Amino acid sequence: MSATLQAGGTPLAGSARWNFTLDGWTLIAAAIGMLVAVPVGSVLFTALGPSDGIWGHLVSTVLWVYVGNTLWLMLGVGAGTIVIGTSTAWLVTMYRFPGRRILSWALLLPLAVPGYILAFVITDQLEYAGNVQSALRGVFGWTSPHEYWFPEIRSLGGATVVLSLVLYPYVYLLARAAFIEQSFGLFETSRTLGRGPVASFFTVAMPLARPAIAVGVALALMETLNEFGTIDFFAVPTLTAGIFDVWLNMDSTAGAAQLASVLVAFTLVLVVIERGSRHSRRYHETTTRVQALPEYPLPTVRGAAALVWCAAPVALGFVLPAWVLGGYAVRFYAETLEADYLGFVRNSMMLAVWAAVIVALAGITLAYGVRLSPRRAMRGLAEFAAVGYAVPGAVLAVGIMVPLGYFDNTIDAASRALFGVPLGLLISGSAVALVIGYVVRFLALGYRTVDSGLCRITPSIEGAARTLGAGPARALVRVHLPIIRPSLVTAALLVFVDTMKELPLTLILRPFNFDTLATFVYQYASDELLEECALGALTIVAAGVIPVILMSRTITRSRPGHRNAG
Amino acid sequence: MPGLDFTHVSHRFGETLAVDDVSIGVEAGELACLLGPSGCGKSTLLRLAAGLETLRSGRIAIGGTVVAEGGAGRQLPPEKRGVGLMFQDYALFPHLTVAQNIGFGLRDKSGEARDGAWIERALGEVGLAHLGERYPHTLSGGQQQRIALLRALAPNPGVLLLDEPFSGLDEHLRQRVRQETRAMLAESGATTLMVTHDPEEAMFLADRIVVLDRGRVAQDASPVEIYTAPANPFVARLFGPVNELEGVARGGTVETVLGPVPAPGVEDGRRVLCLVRTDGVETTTTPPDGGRGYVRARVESARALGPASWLLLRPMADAVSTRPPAAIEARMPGIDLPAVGSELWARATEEQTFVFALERN
Repeated sequence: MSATLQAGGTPLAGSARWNFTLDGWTLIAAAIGMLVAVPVGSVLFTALGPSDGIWGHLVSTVLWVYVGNTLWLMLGVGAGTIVIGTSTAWLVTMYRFPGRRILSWALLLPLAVPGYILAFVITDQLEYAGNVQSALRGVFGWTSPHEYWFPEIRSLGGATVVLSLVLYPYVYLLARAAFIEQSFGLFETSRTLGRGPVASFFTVAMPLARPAIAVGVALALMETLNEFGTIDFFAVPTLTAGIFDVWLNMDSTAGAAQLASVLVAFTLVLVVIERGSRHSRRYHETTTRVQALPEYPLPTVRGAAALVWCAAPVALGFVLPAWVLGGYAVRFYAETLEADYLGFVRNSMMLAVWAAVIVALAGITLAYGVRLSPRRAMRGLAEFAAVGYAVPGAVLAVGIMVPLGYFDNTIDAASRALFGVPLGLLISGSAVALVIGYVVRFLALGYRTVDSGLCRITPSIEGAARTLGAGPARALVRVHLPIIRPSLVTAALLVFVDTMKELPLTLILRPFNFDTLATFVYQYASDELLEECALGALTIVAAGVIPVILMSRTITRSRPGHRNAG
Repeated sequence: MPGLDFTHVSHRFGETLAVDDVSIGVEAGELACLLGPSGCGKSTLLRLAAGLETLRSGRIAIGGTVVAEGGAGRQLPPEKRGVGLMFQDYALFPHLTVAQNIGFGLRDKSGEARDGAWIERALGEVGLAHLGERYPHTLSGGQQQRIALLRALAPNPGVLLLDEPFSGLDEHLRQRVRQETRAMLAESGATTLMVTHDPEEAMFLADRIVVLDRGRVAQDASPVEIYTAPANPFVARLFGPVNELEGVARGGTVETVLGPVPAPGVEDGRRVLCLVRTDGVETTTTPPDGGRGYVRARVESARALGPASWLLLRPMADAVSTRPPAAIEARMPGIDLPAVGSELWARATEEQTFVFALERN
């Protein structure tokens, strides 16, 4: 830790060297930026390199299937998350009905369930031998699958439903924040100008929240592009599935890199949408007046309808998997323990702690560097470094594996030539590669959380510290760090949990014979052994609940006039 | 133009009684002002009239038609009431242009000739013709205020409700916008109910002022009457600082530290409260009539305010009071600063002095 700070801090002592010292922070930020640039760059570089005509083969065979499935999935999940997320956010924010208070935070819970876990549970329930079809057969006296029609859950449609259910909280979270921040007078004005509640929602409230909703959908779609477990289990060949297939089964790095490049293009579009929408949000408020929300009471029937509508996504996206997994875990925990559950937990924890600590440190360095530097370039660099969250895990994996492999081979060859000692694969086969991957992917969490914490420190506090003789490094340690400690802890916690849940990156980059909770659950459940790994899945879900609690606390505190606070 | 009537309206938020049995009638085309400090229930009445709060008890009628009734009665939704409401913070739609904001309420108004041409003309009349395509956040506060008022007027509402329409403006801007608003309202002819906490604003704009005190009507009268004949101490205190003098009525007068004050019709021996506005304290160094009706006072402080001077006077101890008398604040027109420590004569002028009998207890 001190090394990171000292590198920038030492030369800052004299004000005469101000210009030079700024470069110290810029240099570190540039190095962190490189960390993100290298994997993406290497993907593009590899894609353009020799590929034995695999690209032509891909184009003529599977590429358009991959692209088509990816587009349909994005369209479906986009529509699903907008409908569920926006409608529930509006109901919960504006109306009073039974269960509203609990639902306002419970609607975030599905975020704790990774898509692949919900996919396993829903399949388990809906397949031929599952509870739902068994019950139907019992009721109607059917004896074989030919006597009735039942939707195939392991399909593109099924994947859309599953991903919508676990990703809508992104839209819900941002839409709700936008509705709460909106001057409520705008909605009332629309009412007095002759438009009913529904018309007012679509002409005033919804357009005002549109930038926030767009950010939410963009984030949900980034996760959709990243998704591997669900679509692999449901046999929906998207681009991400294609990368795995081409790389692991067809053993073509170049082909995988080419598919990854296509996926990067999709991602870029989402990043542009997301950043653009964040930007336009700033101009969308003409008033800062905070007013208690009215919370219109709903009459009995409509209140019940609102309750059902808002409770359904929570029931399907969280209660169902938690209940099913809980039941299996109680009965089959011994099998899970025998499969070395504790070893998997240890592996997951170790990776998550490393990722969390490194991301937190890198986040402080970036955010503080941006704050110190008046240059726009510094902010641009930090924003670039934070783009890793948008890059799908499979793309990152390819982008990290290629340069690391090259690096290891070079070192190994040099060692053989000079000392006659083979070193083998130093980094690429180790957990270090995994941690690098996590850091790149989750850096944004650290940077943004610390940055928003720093924004709450007024320049005068900084000025006071500096005029009292503290240099930037000392001011950081003595003043900023204590003040932003809660943000820092939050950032580390978020990274910790996301690392525990992460699947595609881990599957590709993990060392041989090395399993985490996520890969263990994925492999067992894929082999129809959901009961035997239920405890592991439940552990991941339980960890995922932590950030949900953090987020629901932040959102209720964000508005002093909101009676839901506390 | 319809009138607006509140009949026995009460409203509570949780435990707090915000509006307590209020009955007010605003006549067609009249501009009435609800005046009172924050928390007196004036904004709640406005929101009840607009239909933004559900009426619990009482009745509200527009043009003789009941739009809200307490109990399980009728509650017309805001969009069906034909009222215009202008919010304190204007509530301009940030995602719509100025012209779109003004045109927002014009949709579905068949038979109305108010369209793009009307908006253009209306903008021109208030000197904002060039702003139609701009977005609200690019406008100054005064411009936003006028746009908000135009938007509320555009659908030609029978009743216009204004919630603190000038509170967002600078002092010097307020004067001018007030005059413009008065002209716009007069031209529209709409029945207007306005909420304000600024007595001067209410005096300037209103045909009638309804003073509210903790949810109750304290006085409902013309601006001049409110100022010259306040019905109770609360109303008298609204217009700036007053000297509060207590005394006992005897033979239709009260002896105070500022001399005898007439208290007609108050029974002998009743305690009374005399409120003397600071402008109502007259001072002189050469009293007529040998100083009868005046008391002698020493100048403790004298400061120039610009258009007026402010004096702090200590009346000489007299036979009436046993304690040393309280200091008296006085406001004199012009700059006239007597030396601190000097003595002069003071009295309470009748038209700025108000006498209220105190409750017996």
